[in-house]
Amino acid sequence: MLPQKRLRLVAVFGVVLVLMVLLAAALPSLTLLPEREMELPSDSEVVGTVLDLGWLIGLLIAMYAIAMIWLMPSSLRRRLAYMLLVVGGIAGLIVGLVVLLDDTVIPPLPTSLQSSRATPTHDPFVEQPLVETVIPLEVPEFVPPPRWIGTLLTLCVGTLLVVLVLVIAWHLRAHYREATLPPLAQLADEARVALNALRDGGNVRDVVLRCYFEMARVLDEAQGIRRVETVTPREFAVQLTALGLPAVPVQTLTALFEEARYGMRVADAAAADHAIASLTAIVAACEALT
Amino acid sequence: MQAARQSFRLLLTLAIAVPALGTFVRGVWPVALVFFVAGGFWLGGRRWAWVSGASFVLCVVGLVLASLLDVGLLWLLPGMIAALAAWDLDAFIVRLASVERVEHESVLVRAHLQRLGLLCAVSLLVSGVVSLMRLHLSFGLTLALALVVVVAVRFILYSLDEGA
Repeated sequence: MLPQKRLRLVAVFGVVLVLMVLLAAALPSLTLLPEREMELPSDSEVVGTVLDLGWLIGLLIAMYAIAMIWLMPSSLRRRLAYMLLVVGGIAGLIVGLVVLLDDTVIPPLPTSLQSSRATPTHDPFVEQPLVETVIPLEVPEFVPPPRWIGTLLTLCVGTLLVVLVLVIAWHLRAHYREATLPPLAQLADEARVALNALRDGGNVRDVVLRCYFEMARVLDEAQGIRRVETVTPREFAVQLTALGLPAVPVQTLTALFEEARYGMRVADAAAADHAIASLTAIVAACEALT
Repeated sequence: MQAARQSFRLLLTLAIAVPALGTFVRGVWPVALVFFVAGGFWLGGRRWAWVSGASFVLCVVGLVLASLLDVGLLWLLPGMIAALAAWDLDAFIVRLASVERVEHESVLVRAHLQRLGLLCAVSLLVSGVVSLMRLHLSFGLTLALALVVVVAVRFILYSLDEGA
């Protein structure tokens, strides 16, 4: 890794560490409350069953955030759309849980409403003296549900919400990937632009490395071929040749990559030209295979 | 390789024994069973790749249960860090074992153990400091910070992946 890149990475890591310390110090005192004022019946014992679940909501949001880190695409142009999905998902999760809270707590009927429900027991056609008769409603005695029911219910609904959002995200990602899959020519153009920019900067090693990474990207996006972490570049080159890609450019680019990545010798300008030519040939071969 | 295996066993013992001892001290000893099951499962099923991850998750479940039952952080933090380190080291051992011939193996193992030790020390320090700190942030700010962390962590992972 280049020193500049390493420095930037260390800086980002430091910022993340500080932010995580702040978050960890702030989360225990964070209380999740609905935006509007809800008049919760103070005499209902259900309130205590479902309101004391801040840790569960926190756990679900943490699960969601971790899943999003795992699912988030690396491409910059898709990151914004994905961020919106993350924000929407978390907001939806919180709203869903608040709605669940709202629905679970059923306030008792006010006494004025109970008294107005008195029904006439006499013939309606015969004029009766206006005597207010109030028949008391037989309200069954309220038995609060056990605490674990509330916990289980919230856990199930929360997990379902998270799974639902993740499934939608997965489908959207697959759909988006299919719909916006760039043609190979465009991929090659993008690779060339990036390489020209690098070459203008004068760093030959970067050009060679970038060529190899672009080859990996093109193969991944066009053919669905991905190098497994445990496979060496040379083994990968053998696999690619077996799959029908031209042997010479693949081997040339692999050798240049190995030299630039692991070798001590400084690559010359001819190496960059060879790398670009090999990459162009591999992209063309991919196009022909497709 | 021998040093890595010994360190793994030591870390796993720490990951199981320290939180289990905490549950005994707190008087919620049934939770200790989770740790013992996780440890036995981990040691007994090392021939399958998925066992390491599943045992680690079981350890985390035990730690969460213990924290809900008010077992002190002094017991749980070292257990969590030791479990994470054991998980990492287990993957490292499996990876080394999958390669037929490793050049400068002892140097590689020593470097990995040094880095892991440093990481464990920093983790203990940071988590210890965090457990003593209390801040009040609004929900919006917390959410914004969490999103920045998510994006930044993704950036770090992507950069490390690209640089590998």
